[in-house]
Amino acid sequence: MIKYTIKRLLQTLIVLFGVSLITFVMLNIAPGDPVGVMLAKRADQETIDRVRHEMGLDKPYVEQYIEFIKGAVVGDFGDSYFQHKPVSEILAGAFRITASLGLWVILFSIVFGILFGISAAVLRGSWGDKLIIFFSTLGMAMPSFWIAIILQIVFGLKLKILPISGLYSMSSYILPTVALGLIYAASIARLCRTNMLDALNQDYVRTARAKGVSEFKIVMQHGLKNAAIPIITYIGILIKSILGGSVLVETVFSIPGLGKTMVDSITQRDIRLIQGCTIYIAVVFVVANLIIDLVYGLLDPRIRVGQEA
Amino acid sequence: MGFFKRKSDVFSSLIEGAEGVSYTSFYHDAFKRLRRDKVAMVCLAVVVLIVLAAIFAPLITPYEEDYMDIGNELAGPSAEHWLGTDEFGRDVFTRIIYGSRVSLMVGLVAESIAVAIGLIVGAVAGFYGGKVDAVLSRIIEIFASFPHILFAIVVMFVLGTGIINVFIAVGVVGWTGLARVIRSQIMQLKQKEYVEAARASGGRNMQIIFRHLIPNCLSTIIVVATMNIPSDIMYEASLSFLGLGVQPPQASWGSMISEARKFIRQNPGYSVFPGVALIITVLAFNLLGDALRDALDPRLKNL
Amino acid sequence: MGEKLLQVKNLSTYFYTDEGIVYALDDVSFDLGRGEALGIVGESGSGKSVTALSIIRLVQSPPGKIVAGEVLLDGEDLLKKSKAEMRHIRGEKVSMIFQEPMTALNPVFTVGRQIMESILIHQHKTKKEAREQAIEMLRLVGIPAPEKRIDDYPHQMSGGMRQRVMIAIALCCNPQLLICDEPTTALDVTIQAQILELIRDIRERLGTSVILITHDLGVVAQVTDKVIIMYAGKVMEYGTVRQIFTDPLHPYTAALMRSIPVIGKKTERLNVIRGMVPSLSKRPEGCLFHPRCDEACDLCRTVRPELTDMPGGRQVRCHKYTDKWEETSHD
Repeated sequence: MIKYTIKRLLQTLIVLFGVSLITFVMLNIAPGDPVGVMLAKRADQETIDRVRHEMGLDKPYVEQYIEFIKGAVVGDFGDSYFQHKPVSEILAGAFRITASLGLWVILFSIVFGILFGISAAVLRGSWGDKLIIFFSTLGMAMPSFWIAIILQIVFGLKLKILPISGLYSMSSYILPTVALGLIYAASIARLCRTNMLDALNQDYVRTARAKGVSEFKIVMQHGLKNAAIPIITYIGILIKSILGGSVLVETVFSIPGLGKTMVDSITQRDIRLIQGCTIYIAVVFVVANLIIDLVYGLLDPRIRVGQEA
Repeated sequence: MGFFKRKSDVFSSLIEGAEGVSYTSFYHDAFKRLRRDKVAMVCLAVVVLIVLAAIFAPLITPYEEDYMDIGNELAGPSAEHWLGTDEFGRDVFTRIIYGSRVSLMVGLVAESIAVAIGLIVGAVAGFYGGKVDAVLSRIIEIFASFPHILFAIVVMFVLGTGIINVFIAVGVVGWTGLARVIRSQIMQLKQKEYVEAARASGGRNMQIIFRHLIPNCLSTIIVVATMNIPSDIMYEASLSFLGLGVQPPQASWGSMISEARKFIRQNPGYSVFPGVALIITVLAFNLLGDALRDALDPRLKNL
Repeated sequence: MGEKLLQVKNLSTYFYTDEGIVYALDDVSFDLGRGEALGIVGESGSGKSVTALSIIRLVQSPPGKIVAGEVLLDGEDLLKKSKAEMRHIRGEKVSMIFQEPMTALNPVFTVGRQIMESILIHQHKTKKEAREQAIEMLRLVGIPAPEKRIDDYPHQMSGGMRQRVMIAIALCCNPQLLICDEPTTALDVTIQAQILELIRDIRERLGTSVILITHDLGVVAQVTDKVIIMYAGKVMEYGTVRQIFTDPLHPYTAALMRSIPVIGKKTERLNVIRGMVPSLSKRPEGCLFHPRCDEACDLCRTVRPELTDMPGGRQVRCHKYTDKWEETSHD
């Protein structure tokens, strides 16, 4: 397990290095002149030169990249040009918001996904099963930003029971959580149904029945623990999707999380902030995935021992 | 279903030409299975309908794409404007039909770009193995570490807005899945006797890859590409929704929803209908992709 | 002995599939005395496993359904029990072990937990007591260092060990009846012998009645007293092991006996019964075995034979042993 952990850590470091390189190349080299892009037609050549010097952009690329990496390692992504604050400070605040929204979304989608997934598996072939399949298939085809707007129209404008945007109280979390979580709840429901059906067809379930174990315990213990393994893997994808999806849903609900910060920084052409945002989100995803990979072994004894050997 | 017969003939001639072995019966069986799948047939009909609507948009829409019914802005559905009008008095139904052009083009062009990149990277990694594979696998992993939409946003920022750049951005973010599948398939295929034989008879590596290995991955490529189309369409809509994709006055479902968002009080239907069009399209492609996978390559199920 | 523990009467189990009704088990009857061991032998598809699953009512439903008959355990009909009552009988009065020890244990739980599960369901014990009993059970089935192995996961054990664990699970509530469905088929020959020895030993020590289901007549000879030969969902012959081995009555039994290779006896090639087991949804007219029978006559092709009582307490389902056969063949 230790050897495996070290190997995964090294792989993660390589990936993070690659992520920083791609981001750097895309934002600093590809568009030609980042300051020109940033200030667009708002400034004269003199100002552009001054800002470029201030930001250290007149140095050679290699030197710039080394500076950038040095900073990034200690979490310093420079200052936001327009907000006059360190990028890391802005991101830390935004991350807290996205993280709490993300946790709600994960909770929502796992609870409802597993609930409906198990129900469908237990009711297989019935109308209830077909209904759950229908709605989960539909749910997976719905764009989160569109769901968000529909929720705003229904619960904010027509029924007037939930806040339409912003983040002021716990109730502000409800609509964004549902808008973002519906798709994942639908995918988890399908995943859970398939894996539960698979588990319930295994020989060990027949053994459990022959022991006199009740159907409820068979589903909730023997079935769920086996069906849970693929769902845990899915959480890795889920985190990545939430980080991506937050861009859209936070924009609709005006929530100042990572996603909205990203979109705003793009609109303002705030290069340092875009760069920090991109790397920050990628790092969060890569590290989360690393953790999931390591936790995964704890759930599936077959893998745990396989790694020790 | 003449459509399928023709399509399967194309596949088989492609493969026979490359392999000298007939795969006709394989594809014939697969399409027979597909034809029995009622859901798949309905979805196929929907897709064909959308394609026809996109091609013949000027013939079936009641108005010009940018005709403005001045004095009748943000109207609800009526006999004149079936799905109402937007803030400039343009017909929402007309613009949804024109918007399908953007979505389908993205599905086609962006996915072709993704397939090209994924195929080459995957095939080279799988064929050469060793160090080449180690480096390429790491690159695949790096590109897969960005949330797709985020990566696409950055690419759009660098390249600037516009439909051509949307093709590039969506294509560049969407190739890693296919690359992984192709890599593992090529790894298995290169052990096969006929590849050994081709190598023994002095075939060059590139020749072996393109003439023997890739044609054998054809069904996988078709399945993965079809299954990716709905997310490509979704990415375009998301980019346009954020104002980074297709620019007005060109109609795209994403940008329509983005505009409509400002007017949910005056005309809620304006934001609802483009979304419904998007859902129907994505749903049809999703289910069609699932059916194609079940018919052609059920092993891809746990992707 | 003598006292009846289990009486199966006219048991029929059908599977309702898209291709039609599969008569997996058709009017099967047999008795089992207390402490007795009964072998059920047949080729795959003969209905022998369905017999076992029908007794403890674990036939997959749908498509399977027990359509008729009685299964009397101590005089009580199991087919009339409610689902909850049935759960108390399974694992406590009747236990079952299966063919595939590789897949019959849940991979994500330790073997200890899987043994304790059964103890905790059926006996009023604390977890600690259950664990101690589980260790005892592992010792009983011959697992070395049971206090250590109890925390192993199934994949850390060999096939033979896992089958021993299965037996420990089956025996932990001291059941009256142990049903073994092909317990050794998936194991190596040397391990097979050990497991069979274990089953025989348990029967002698605990007085448990055993039903042993197998396709292998050799296995039956080692463990049981009585044998049922099944074919296409019907009982073809019933008798003691000695009777069946020395003097098989039914042509099918005789053919089965011939197909066992004998060490030291030179044969041109293995004797294989020609033809295939018939599809259970499209059964032939007359005797179900007639398409493969060398002695079949017109009568066999048209009239379905009944199970006939024979001297020595035996039973056989063949026209050869009825009056009708003599009428037709002496004409």
